[in-house]
Amino acid sequence: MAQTNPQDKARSALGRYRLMAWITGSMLLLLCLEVVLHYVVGISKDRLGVFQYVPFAHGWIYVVYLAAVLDLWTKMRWTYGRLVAMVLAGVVPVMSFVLERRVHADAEAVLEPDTLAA
Amino acid sequence: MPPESPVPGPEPVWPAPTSFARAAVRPRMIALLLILLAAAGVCGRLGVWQLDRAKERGAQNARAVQAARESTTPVPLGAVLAPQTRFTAEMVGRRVAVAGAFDASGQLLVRDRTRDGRTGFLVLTPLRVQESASTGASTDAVLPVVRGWVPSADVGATVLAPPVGTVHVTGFLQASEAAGSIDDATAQTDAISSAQLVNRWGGPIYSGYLVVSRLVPAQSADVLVLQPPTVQGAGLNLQNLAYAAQWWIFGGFALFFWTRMVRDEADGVRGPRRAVDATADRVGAGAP
Repeated sequence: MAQTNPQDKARSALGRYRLMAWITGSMLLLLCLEVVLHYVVGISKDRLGVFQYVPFAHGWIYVVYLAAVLDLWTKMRWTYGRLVAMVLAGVVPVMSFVLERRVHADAEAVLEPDTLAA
Repeated sequence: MPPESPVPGPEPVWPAPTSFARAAVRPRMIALLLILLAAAGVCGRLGVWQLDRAKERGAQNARAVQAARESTTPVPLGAVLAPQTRFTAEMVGRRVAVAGAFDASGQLLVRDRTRDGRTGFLVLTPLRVQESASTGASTDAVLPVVRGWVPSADVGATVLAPPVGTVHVTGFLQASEAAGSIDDATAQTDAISSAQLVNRWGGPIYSGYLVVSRLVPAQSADVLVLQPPTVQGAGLNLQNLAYAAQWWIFGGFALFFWTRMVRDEADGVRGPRRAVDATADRVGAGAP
């Protein structure tokens, strides 16, 4: 699919956002688990193995997530309130999954007719 | 990225396309800029804070490494460093014990060295290392030993004289310095350089030197021992450094976001995206 018209660009931005929302959401759940294991259960960082790198990974994944959010949001011309919600969804556990469903449905509702027309 | 063309369809409400500059000075774009600049400023400040944390935690880690080194029991010099072999960074500050005999005739004073903020001289004496304290067999290898610090070169021969006979030295290893100049008349030098000292003392020589913390039999109390060398390259905590970078990227996003908004404003495309066949009832519905 050649990405020449705004509709197609928005659609691929929507795909990138969906991917990042899922990755960020999953990473955030792992982060919560890591925080509980380290600070509540009291397992030392060394004994957490790969888990000790979760906060580090989440930080960089969130950077990519934000880029995807800004890209989609500007293409879809949503309200500022939605932008704030999408930005927050990357740091509030489970929120990204819930919001992604709504965002995706809203975008589909607007994008679909044009795609069919094209 | 080329600016997007507006979605095809009638545009009765939204302003006509204009230039980037004209769009940028519209009140709502200025307001947005101020908000985003504030956000970018906060991000920048948080980045600086994380950078400070990175330094602090790097230094903390270095102190912990240092403390761990200082609390270890000394190991025989031979277990760490052999004569004429390369001195590596992780040897700096290692606690070692060695036995040997000082060669008083080779002793030098290293000028312009500070201890507790005062400038004076280091007393640098060649130690003929004995293979092991028990056999007393000499290896003939020379270890440069900094016995301590004196405030001036005129403290007297008795103060500067090293203990005679077999001595047992405990101290910290330090990396050799770049060659300096040795003044034969005063027996003073400005560098502790094994490469240079080997010409004067003969070899084989050790590629690092030892800073005395304890000497048996004792030397003059007027030769003040030095603090252990500090761990080099305290470095930055990588995690906090990454957080700092991330905050600055977020700040960059805020500024980039503004240019993107102005571009859309200039193109006259701000407003809710809508499907071609549903324009009329959606125009202006979600305008910011």
